[in-house]
This record gives sequence, structure tokens and C-alpha cells, in this order.
Amino acid sequence: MAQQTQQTSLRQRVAALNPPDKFVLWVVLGLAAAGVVAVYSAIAFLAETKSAGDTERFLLRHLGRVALALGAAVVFSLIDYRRLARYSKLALIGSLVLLVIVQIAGEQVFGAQRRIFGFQPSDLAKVALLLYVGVLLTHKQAYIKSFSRAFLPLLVWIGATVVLIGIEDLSTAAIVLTSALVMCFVGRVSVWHLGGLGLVGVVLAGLLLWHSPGRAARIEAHLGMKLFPHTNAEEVFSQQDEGYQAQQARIAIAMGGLFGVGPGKSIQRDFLPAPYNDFIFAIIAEEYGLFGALALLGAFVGLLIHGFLRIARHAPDPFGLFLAVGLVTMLVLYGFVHAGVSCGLLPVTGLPLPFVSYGGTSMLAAGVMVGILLNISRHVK
Amino acid sequence: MEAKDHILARMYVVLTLVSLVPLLIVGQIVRIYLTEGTELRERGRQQASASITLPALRGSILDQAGRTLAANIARYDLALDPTVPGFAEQASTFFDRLSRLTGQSAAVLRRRVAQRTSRQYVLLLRNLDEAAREEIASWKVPGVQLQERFSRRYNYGPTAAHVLGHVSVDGQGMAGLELQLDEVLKGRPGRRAVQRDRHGVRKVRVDGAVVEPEHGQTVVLTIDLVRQSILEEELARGVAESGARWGTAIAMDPHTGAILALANVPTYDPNAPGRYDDAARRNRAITDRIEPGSTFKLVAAVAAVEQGVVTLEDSIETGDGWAVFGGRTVKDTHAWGTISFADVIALSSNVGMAKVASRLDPGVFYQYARNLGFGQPTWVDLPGEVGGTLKKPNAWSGTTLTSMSRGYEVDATPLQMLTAYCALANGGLLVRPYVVAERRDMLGRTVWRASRDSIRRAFKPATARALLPAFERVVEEGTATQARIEGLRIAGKTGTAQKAVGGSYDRHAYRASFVGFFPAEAPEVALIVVLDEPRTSGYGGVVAAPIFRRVARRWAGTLPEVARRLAPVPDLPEPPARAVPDVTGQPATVAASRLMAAGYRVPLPDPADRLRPVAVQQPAPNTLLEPGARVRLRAAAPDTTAPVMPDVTGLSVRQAVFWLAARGVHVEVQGHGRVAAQSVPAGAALPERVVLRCR
Repeated sequence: MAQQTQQTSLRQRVAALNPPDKFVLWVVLGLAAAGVVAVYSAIAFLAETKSAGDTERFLLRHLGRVALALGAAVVFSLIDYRRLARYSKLALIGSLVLLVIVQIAGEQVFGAQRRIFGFQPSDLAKVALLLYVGVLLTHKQAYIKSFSRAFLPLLVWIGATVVLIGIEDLSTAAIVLTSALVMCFVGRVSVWHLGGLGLVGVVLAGLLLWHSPGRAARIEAHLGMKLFPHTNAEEVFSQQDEGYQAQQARIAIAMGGLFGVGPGKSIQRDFLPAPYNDFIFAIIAEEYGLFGALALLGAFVGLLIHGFLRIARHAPDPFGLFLAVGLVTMLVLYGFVHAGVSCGLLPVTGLPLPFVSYGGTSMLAAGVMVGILLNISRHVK
Repeated sequence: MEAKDHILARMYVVLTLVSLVPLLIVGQIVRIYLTEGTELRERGRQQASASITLPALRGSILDQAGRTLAANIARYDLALDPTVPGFAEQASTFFDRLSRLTGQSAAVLRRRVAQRTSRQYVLLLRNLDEAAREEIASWKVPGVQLQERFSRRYNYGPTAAHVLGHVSVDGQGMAGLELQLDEVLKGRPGRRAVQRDRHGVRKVRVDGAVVEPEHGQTVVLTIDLVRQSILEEELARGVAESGARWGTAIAMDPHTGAILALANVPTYDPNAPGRYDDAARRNRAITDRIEPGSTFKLVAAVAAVEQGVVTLEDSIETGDGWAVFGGRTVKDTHAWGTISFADVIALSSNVGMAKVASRLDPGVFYQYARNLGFGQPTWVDLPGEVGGTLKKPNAWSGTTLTSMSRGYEVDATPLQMLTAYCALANGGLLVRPYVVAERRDMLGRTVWRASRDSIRRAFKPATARALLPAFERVVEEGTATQARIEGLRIAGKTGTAQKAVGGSYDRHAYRASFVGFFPAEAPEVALIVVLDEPRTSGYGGVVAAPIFRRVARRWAGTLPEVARRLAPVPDLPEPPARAVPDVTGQPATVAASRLMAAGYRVPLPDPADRLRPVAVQQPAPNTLLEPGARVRLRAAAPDTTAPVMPDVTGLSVRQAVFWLAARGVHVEVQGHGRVAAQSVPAGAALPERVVLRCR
């Protein structure tokens, strides 16, 4: 009886909501469709070596994951984001504990990719962090300029999450950190505090690089500059084979030209490592040329503008605004960093292109984030 | 709402900053296109393209009639990757089976695998045939690869081996025409562009450029398989019968220079060249420089006749068979007395030839030798030819001219000598010998055809015409009567050269040769036969001339003009039966010649028995027998019969003298031609000295 009233009220509540944002929906569907086509082409090599040319098996798996991600988006678009806020602290703490457990237990228990039930704790952590930072910012608006009461708690939570993620995956950590700081900035956190943090960050990064010649050399190799006296850039450069990967990606883009070599005709997919994942943007640029690359970037720019101006600006409450900004920033940063790596603007890291790249867990996380964003859009005034 | 505006303002700042990122990305892409696009595209194309070789088929070698002498067959190499999982379990049965199949011991195979240089590859066996390939493939042993390649097959084994040559296991021409025409035969391999990935795995590209292989050309020889086989058989037989160390024989069309057959004994099988030593693989016809001996008398004869210092009818005083020239004694086999210059040639008188030659200016003599091709290669289209040595007059000693006139102090290859006689046969032209008649492409179109290539006129046609009778006489009644064939006019010259061993001439080591051509009035074939150190006799007329005769007889079947001359006149009445003459007690060779002259067929006596008297003849003497029937002779055991004077009347001077001289009888000849009367009657004890009157 009670359950029925609950259900009824839920249905009524859903019906009472605005329809979700169509633009974001189309962008996501478009990205997913482009991803299916591109992955089908790019996966050929992997399929040949792993399952004797059965490309369809990989395609079906990818389609299944796309469906799962879109399903997650639908489900989360129906859950009130304010309800999620209530569990955000719990979720964040839980995911941080998981990160620690995974870190301690290590590879023996959870495999090289450290998954739990096929899900990486970091994917949970980054969504939970965005939610909780939104919650904190909303609660602390009254004394937001305070260092000890506003900035420090934020810094503790963000710092803890970023460090735990960063142990394994520096580039994801960087995106999470950037997204969280953007939220803080929009949430009126003192520019001085953020600026100071930035300064400290630069010093810390310098120290980190100083003590890790390998990383330093990667940066040097990428920039083509000698920054640190103690590194051996050339050696590391060749060892890590990054020059090779970056060059293969640049070749892919150069081969593409304006209009591309045509669907399914990529040659560089045989030379790029993980072309279906880390370098899918390069494959698209090769097969569809500059126009293909522009369309892809345009989708993300559309998501950015629409997310900020249509959803965040018109969010019913500050929490919705902060959360929308955080979600959009994170999704869009993934896209831009991926593209930046593919065209040699950024050092090589293994970041997926949301909704496009082949790979389950990041796709699901992106689906959840879009779902939350869509839910916010249902409440816009 | 101040806070909200603040928030929105900051949001716009973020929006603006983040929006700048894609501009950077697009900028970078455009920068790639503009600054390094061409270079990167080139690199990409290079790394992605690879080519696989499409092998070209090696051209076949055909004989004059189109029979395939050298062809390609598919052969397989067995390679093994012993690290492939599953091989180890089957290894022992695999080696046992392979050992049973190929006869190669299993231990050897195992050692090959154990001592391999590459971890994942070892070439176990080469040259497996199709049956072996199927058998091995049916075992389905993991790690076993059967690599196909083309191998060379010489269909007729050793036949024409020295002309064809052979190839290495990799199909590279190593000798003979395979080496000489390697570029033409092997063609040019093609390429197919394929796509390559970073693991080097190749994918066939549908749009990939294909350069079709240019298959090797087919080479058609001037040599005929049937004639070649006959020449080889007869040479081998002659070498075996005479006990010679080696022999070589070449036949040529004197008008064109086309080599009709070329044989060497010992020979080898080009299908397995490694099993033979260098001596067997040597093409002595073009690579051995030898002092020719009397066959070289052609040069002095041509020079003397053309320069007018002598005519065939002029009498030459050969005296007692010796004379001194420049302090060196020149000897004849016999004292011929005063004979015509024609007989000097026919009887091969060293004294006579030396006397005539000394009338010549050394420079003139040298010029004739040079014009006849001595001291320079013939430029035959076979590899490894040597040029021979002809000393220039300024390097001559006082005896060089007379030595050279009879074929010493000069050396030449058998082919050079044959080419010189071809000039006599064709009226004075020196032609270039060749074995390749034609080259065809894969579709059978002729791409190249040999043409007659006369190097120069060596002497006038009139000189050739004048000399021809003398050289015919060599065969008719001179030193080469064993080359005679009834009905066929043959011109030629014997050579019997002492071999120079360690700077001095060895009295017991000879090089016997005969070179001639037939039919003498319209020559179709010129043939030279050279034997090294024959043991039964050193004389070219005894050991080399019979080979010439047998070859000429058997070749008649392939030469219609020659066959016509030899064929019995069909409307002759049945030859009447006649009493077989009694030849017992006569030397076997003499007896055989007599019986043959009477029209009987006589199997040639064993070489060892030739000089022995006939003990038994079957059927018995005086039996009535039709000409053409067979008469068998059995020689007496050595030294069991007291030597008796044979009946030599009717034999040629040369034959009679030959036998008598061999028995230590001093012969005095009066006149020339055939023996008409003998001073000691037949059947009497062998005298010390005999006078033969000839007509």
C-alpha cells in the first residue's frame, strides 16, 4: 500500500517534471553513434589478433556497453539530483575506502585495472566528489570566503580524492581536480585561496617532477625543452615509445587531410596502440578528416555551451548550478584532453573519449553523469 | 541576487576559458596539415607499405627440335620451428618417419635441430618432391613448414651437360649456358604491394600495385638431342676402347657456326653437380689449351698454297724420314721418299710440311694462323672460353716456324681447331661458333634469333678448293682411312701430338685427334674428336678417326643429304654369295678392313686385340656368304703364333705401313696409293725389311 503510493507519487513527480534537455540527448546519441562506427573500424586489428577477425563480437560488446550507458543516463535522469546529494558524502567516503582497499590489496586481488565487479572505484569517486563538492559549496555560501571553514574542508575532500585517484591515474586525477576547482571557482571560493593553491600546486608539481626523472623526462620530451638538469629525456623518450605513439597519431591526422581517407579505410589503426580507445579521435580525424574532427569537437563545445547557459544558468538552485558546471566541465575536459593528446598538443595519456571510445567503465560513468545533468535540466525554470 | 550574479560571472569566465581549448586543438590540427603534413603522410605511406616478391620462372632450355632439356619443377624445403607448442610431443615419431621417408638418419636430423642458429627456425631438408611434401603434410606436425620453390631439372641427365651447365641450390646459374645466360633465363621477379602493420603482419591490399614478374626467356639451342646423344655415346665408347684419360668432340655447321653437338668424357649430371669433381665438369672443348699437332698443318698448307710457294702436285723430298731444321731433328713415322705435297698432307709428313713451311715468311705464316682464329677466342656463347696461344714472330726462335707448321709451340682449344677447319669447309670464312639459336619469351614469341656471324675471310675460296682433295685423300688413303665411309666423301686431318710434360715431350703420352667434315663437296657437318693419352695407340687415325666414322654414320639418319649418299641403290640385284676370303693369321685390324671392303659386316675387334693376328674366323674361310652377312674374328692369344708376313696387297699404304711398322718391319714404299705387290710373300716369316710397290 505504502509502496504503491510511493510509486504513484514517483510517477506523478516524473510527469510533473519538464522534459529532459533534447540538445544534450542528441549530442550524446550522436557521439555514441559516431563511436560505434569508428570503433568498428578501429577494432579490426585487435579483433584479428584476439579472436581471428571476429570484429562483430567486439562491435556487439561495444553496442551493449553503449546501451548500458544510455540506460544509466535514463535511470539517473529520473532520480532527483537533490536526492543524490543526500547520499553524496556516503558515496564519496565509500569510494575513497574502496580506492584505499584496492590500493593496499593491489593487483593480486583486483587485477591490473583494479576493478570491483567490473567497475573502477575511481569512476565512482569522481562522480561522488562532484556531488559532494556541490553540496559543500551550497552549504558554505554564507561564509564561502573563509579559509578555515570553507576552503579547507573543500581542499581536504578534493585533495584526498585526487591523491587517491592520482596514484594510479594522473591524467584522470588532473581532470577531476580541474573540474572540482572550476566548481569552487564558480561557487565563489576566494580567488586568493585558489590562486595560492595554484602556486603551491606548481611548487609541488616541480618537486614531484624533480623526484621522478621519468615523468620529468616525459614532460621534457613533449615540450622539446630541457627543464631539469638531472633527466635523460632522450633515453626515456625512446623507452616509453611515446614519440612513436605521438607521431603515429600525428600521421593519422595528416593522412586525414580535409575530408579523410573514408570510413573504414584507416591505415594508422594498425600502427596506433589502442586505436579504439586512447586514439579514437585520431582515427576519426584520419577517416573523416578535419570536418570529422570539427564535428566531434563541435559536439563537445555544444555540450559545454548548452550545459552552462541552458542548464547551469537556469538550474533551480545553487546546488544544481554547481553540479551542472562540474559535470559539464568534466565531460568536456575528457573530450578536449583526449583530442589534445591525439593531435600532440598534450603528452600521451590513456584517456577515453566519452561515449565514443571502446571501454565499459568510463562509458558507464559518463552515462551516469549525463543522466544527472539531464535530471537537472528537467528542473530548470 | 548579488551572489547569483557573481556566480554567473565566474561561470562565464570558465565558459570562455574552456571554450578556448578546442580552438587550440583545431589550431594544432591545422598546424600539422600545414607544417609537417607532407612529411608525415610520406612516412605513413612508407611504414604501411611493404611488398612481397612474386618469383619469376626460370626459362627452359630446349634443343633444336623443341625438346625440353632444362625445365623447372616445384620442390619443397622443410623448415621447422621446434618451439611451437605441440611439436615436442611428436618430435621423436616425426624424426623417425622423416628418416624412413627420406633415408636421412634421424640422428642427423636431430643434430640439425639441436645445432640450429636461430631459435625458431631450422632448415631441415631441401629439395623434397611433391610426394614427400604430401606425405609430410599429412602428418600434421605443428611447427613444420613446407616452403615451395622452383628447382631445376635436366630431363636427360648428363646429356649436353657441358653446354647446359647447372644452377646452384638457389637457382643461380653456375656453369654453361645457365651461367652465360643467367640474366636472360632468370627473368625479373615481380612485386605486390601489401599493407603492413607495426607487427610486420602483412595484409593483401586489394588496390595494391602489382608489378607482374617478368619470367625468364626460353632458350633454344642449335644442338639436337638425338645427335648429341649419338656423339656422347660414340665418344664415350671411343674413350673406353682406347683407354684415353678424357675425350672431347664438337660438331659444327661449317657454314653458320651453329654447334650441332658438343660432348666431353668424363661428363657429369647437372641434376647433382656436387657429386662430380671439377675434371668431370670441365668443358674441355673450350677451356683446354692443347698443342694440336698435325691438325695444325692446315695453317701451313693454306699459307703455302695461297702464297703460291707450293702446289699440291709439287714433289717434296722427305728423304729418309728425318731432317734437321735449326739444329732440331724433325722425324716422320716412315721414310716416304719423294712425295707430292698432297701426300705430305695425306701421310702427315712432318719433314715435308716443315720444308714447305720454311719457304714462308714468318710474318705471313703468323698472319694466316691469326686469320684462322688462333691466338684469340672464338667468341662462342659459352662461358670460360680460353683464347689459346700464338707467339708473335718477334718472339720466335729459329725452330718456331717449322715446329709450328706441324702443330707445336702453339696451343689452341679443340673448338678453335674445328673453327679453322670450318673455314676450309665453307671456302675460307672464319665463322663464330654459337649454341643459342633463339630466345623466346613466356608466350613463345621469338625475341632474339642467332644469325651467321663470319668474323673474317681467312683465305680465298680458290685456296680451299685447291686444298680440299689433299684433305680428302687423308681419309681415302692417308692417315685417317678408319674414318672412311663408303659413298660419303670426307675431308679431314689427323693429329698425333706428343704431350709436353714438365717442359719436355713425353714419348709415351699422346694426344690423338681427328678433325674433318662431310660431305666434302657440300659440307654439312664439321667434327673434331680429341682424345687425351689413349693407351691402345697414340695415332689420331687409329683412335679418333673411328669415332668420327661412327658418329658420321649414325648421324646420317638426321641429315637427309648424307643419308641419300649412304643409302644402297635400291634396284641393284641381290648381291651374289661369295667365298669369304681367308684372313686367318692377318692382323685383326687388317683382316677386318679386308672383310669390310668385301662387303661383310665385321664387329670391330677388341682394341687390345687389334694388332694380333686372327686365329679363328667364323664362318670358316671360303664359305659362301652374301655380302652384308656378319663375320666374326677371334684374335690369337698374345705371342702364341710366330709372326708371319701378312698379305697387304690391296690395302692402303698407310694401313700396310702401320701394321708392319708396329711389328718392327722396315718398310720401303715405291709409288703411292694402294699396295700392288709386296717383296716378301704372304705367310713367310716376318722379314726385317720389305719393299711395297704401290699404284
